[in-house]
Amino acid sequence: MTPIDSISPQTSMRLRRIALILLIAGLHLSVPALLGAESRERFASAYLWGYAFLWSVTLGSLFFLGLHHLTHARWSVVIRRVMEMLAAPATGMLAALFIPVVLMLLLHGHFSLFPWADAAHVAEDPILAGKRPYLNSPFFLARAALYLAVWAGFTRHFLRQSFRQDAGDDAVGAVLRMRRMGAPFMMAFAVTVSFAAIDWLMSLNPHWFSTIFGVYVFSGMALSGLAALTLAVIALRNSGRLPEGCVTTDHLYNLGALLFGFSAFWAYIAFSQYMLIWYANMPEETFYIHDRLQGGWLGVSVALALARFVIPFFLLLPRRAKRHARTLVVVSVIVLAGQWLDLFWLIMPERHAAGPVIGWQELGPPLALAGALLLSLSRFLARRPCLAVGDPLLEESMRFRL
Amino acid sequence: MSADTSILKPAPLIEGRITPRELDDAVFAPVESFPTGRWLIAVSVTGAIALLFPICIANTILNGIGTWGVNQPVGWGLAIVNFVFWVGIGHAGTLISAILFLFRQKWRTGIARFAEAMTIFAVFCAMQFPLFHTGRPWLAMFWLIPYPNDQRIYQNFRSPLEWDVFAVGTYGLISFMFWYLGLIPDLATARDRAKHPFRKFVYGLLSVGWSGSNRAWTHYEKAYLMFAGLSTPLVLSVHSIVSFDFAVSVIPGWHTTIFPPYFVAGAIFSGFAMVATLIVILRRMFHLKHIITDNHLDLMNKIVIVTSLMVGYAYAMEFFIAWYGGVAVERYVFMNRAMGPYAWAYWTMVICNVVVPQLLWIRRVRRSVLLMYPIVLLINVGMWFERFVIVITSLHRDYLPSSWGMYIPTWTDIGLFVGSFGIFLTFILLFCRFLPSVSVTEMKAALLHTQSAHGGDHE
Repeated sequence: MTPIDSISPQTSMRLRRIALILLIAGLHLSVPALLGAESRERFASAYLWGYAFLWSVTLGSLFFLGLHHLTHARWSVVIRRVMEMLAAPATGMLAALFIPVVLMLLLHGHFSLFPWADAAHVAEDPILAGKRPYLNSPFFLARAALYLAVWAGFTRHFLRQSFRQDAGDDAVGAVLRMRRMGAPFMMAFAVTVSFAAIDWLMSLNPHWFSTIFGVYVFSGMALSGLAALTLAVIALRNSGRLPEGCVTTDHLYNLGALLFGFSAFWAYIAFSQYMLIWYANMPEETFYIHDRLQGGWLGVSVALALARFVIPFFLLLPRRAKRHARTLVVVSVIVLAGQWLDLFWLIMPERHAAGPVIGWQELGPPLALAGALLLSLSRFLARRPCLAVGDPLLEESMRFRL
Repeated sequence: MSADTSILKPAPLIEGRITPRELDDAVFAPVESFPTGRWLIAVSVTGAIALLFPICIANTILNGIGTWGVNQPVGWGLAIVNFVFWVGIGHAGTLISAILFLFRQKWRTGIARFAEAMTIFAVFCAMQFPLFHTGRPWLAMFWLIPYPNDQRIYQNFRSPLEWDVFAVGTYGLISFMFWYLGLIPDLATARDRAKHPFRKFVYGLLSVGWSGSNRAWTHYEKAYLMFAGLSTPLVLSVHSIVSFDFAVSVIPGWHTTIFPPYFVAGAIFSGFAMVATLIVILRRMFHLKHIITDNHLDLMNKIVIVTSLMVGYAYAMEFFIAWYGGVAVERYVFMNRAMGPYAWAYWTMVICNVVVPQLLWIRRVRRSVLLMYPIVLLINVGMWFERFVIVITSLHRDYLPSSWGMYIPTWTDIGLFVGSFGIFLTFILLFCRFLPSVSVTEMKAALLHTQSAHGGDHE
């Protein structure tokens, strides 16, 4: 039926090499950054930046995996394993890489990432003092532990059932068990991602608040998960790991249509937030937007709108583009670059008010974290087939036509 | 292999085997037979209720808006509540016809036509309220629609109320065209089946010379896809713009950034509840249980629970950020909602929209008319109260305690609301009587597809 050799686990030396180069280069830049007082501060923001990107791609993929089970989708069975591969870091790596954030919070004499963690600062600021029941280190850490545990728990469940299928163990039952967790997962996901977004990104500027913020972060997360998924599917197909007859242009069309839709969704949410704050013009909200429209940040804001919405939207509008692998690769790369930019736009103005600053101090952690992500993907590929070979609906999914 | 994977596949769209001819007969039976006594009674009752509307409108026009309960500080009363309520009801139709179409959800075929018709009637009811709220509706055309004039006076384009005119107008128009386009092949079937020459003439006229040729079908399919593509952003934009009516202001409880998606989710929620409420009666009255199956109810109830959770998320997030934001008046408004003089309305909303729908997690409840019916009725109530809570509680106690007050609707307010229900239901009944309430064309395509695919599995 399928050429088993190509999908069986194998190490991709090229992927491993790229991952190791990124990791080593990143660590090489990070160590000196930790030594200086000023560069240490910049390291802290950059670490959060890189971590948030890793988090977005992983949980964005996990979202689509959960959605696949929740909606009892059948067309996407051929790419289910790729979603699982991209979501796999949520089982442990995501939590392990959060440890530096914990350390930075606990050593807040040396790192000032979250202004609310500084007791002296909070004492002078009645607004922050009022938020102390929520914004305090022990509760923050407890919440983070809860989020990470929830994500790890669901991912482990999905992956365990899926691997059990590979062994040919009660394949139908495994599908049912995965589907059963679809709805609980989605509810837990919505709550944890929203509050993680508030904790990790919105509270960087603890005076500011926006009810749509969780949805905003989710929209970017889903988009970047989808772009990573599209890239991975096309890369695996081109390298022959996913056989030609498996992922057809019809599957690619669906991915392209979803990319198109979610890019419009991001624009809708981003516009809703921006327009309502701009229109009401209340000083307790506008300063956040104002900070991001002045000096060098204006250019970043414009680039954000282009990379996240305008370019993907118009590139993907024609039907032919959604079936065309190379166009999808270009759009996915732009979308992922847009996610880096979006997180930069959320995090960095709190550190550099005058305009964007990118030096070697900013590059270390993102490079290292990107390397860690790729390394985990290559380890996954070395251990597991890149197709959910045991899924009873696989054949139907391969036959999927529009 | 096919035997053990059948559990993983969706249930068939139609129960039992049915030929295209039998399908035609089942769907066209209410259109072609003399109205039953039950239908006549129903339409007289709803018609009588609908009469309340012109009576109350006459009172409004003769005596002015003072006959409504609106005053300082609550300048927007039931009229705006009803407007938002009815626009929301319409959203299920567009979601089913456009978004579910783009997502290739084949089960939508059974309920799409009816839901689309409901959209049009609901939007019609919705438009009445702001129209009469202008006070002099005979002049409203000049106030609302920009036209070239010597005085060079134009509408305030910065006002979301003016955006509403365009948003709701476009929505009504596109929904109507989409619905009518889908109707054309079915109207042609009605024409071809007609015995009486007058009947043949009327349906012939309505079906605009549909020939059923290959070329006609090609154009039809293309147009349908285009309308689906156009309607999808409309579903989101209409209720987003309705939410802007509130959210662009600086009124605490109105100005919050989550309003656009929250309103859209709420609209779909209330719309699906209304579709479920009515379609259960329809399929019973016209014996369509094998076409609009329990499986349809199951799937609709799943969408109801998803949107119920979205609405619940928004309630919780608004409350949390009201506290987190640290703005005193914002905190007060939310505490006032939950514990002030309108707390009963707030808790009605929470219980009907978030607590009760959780029962739909149980499969048996989703599939049993008897068990799900009270739930969807309560959602209709709850979603009306949601708009009541948003409009009234935010206004009745604003920044200045000296201007606080209460809002009490008058009999005219209530009569208009009840009357609008009468109009809506009368339209629905007329629709069921004169037009095929299920898309026979799409059902036949689905029939061919599933029944032949079914056969293919065994060969």
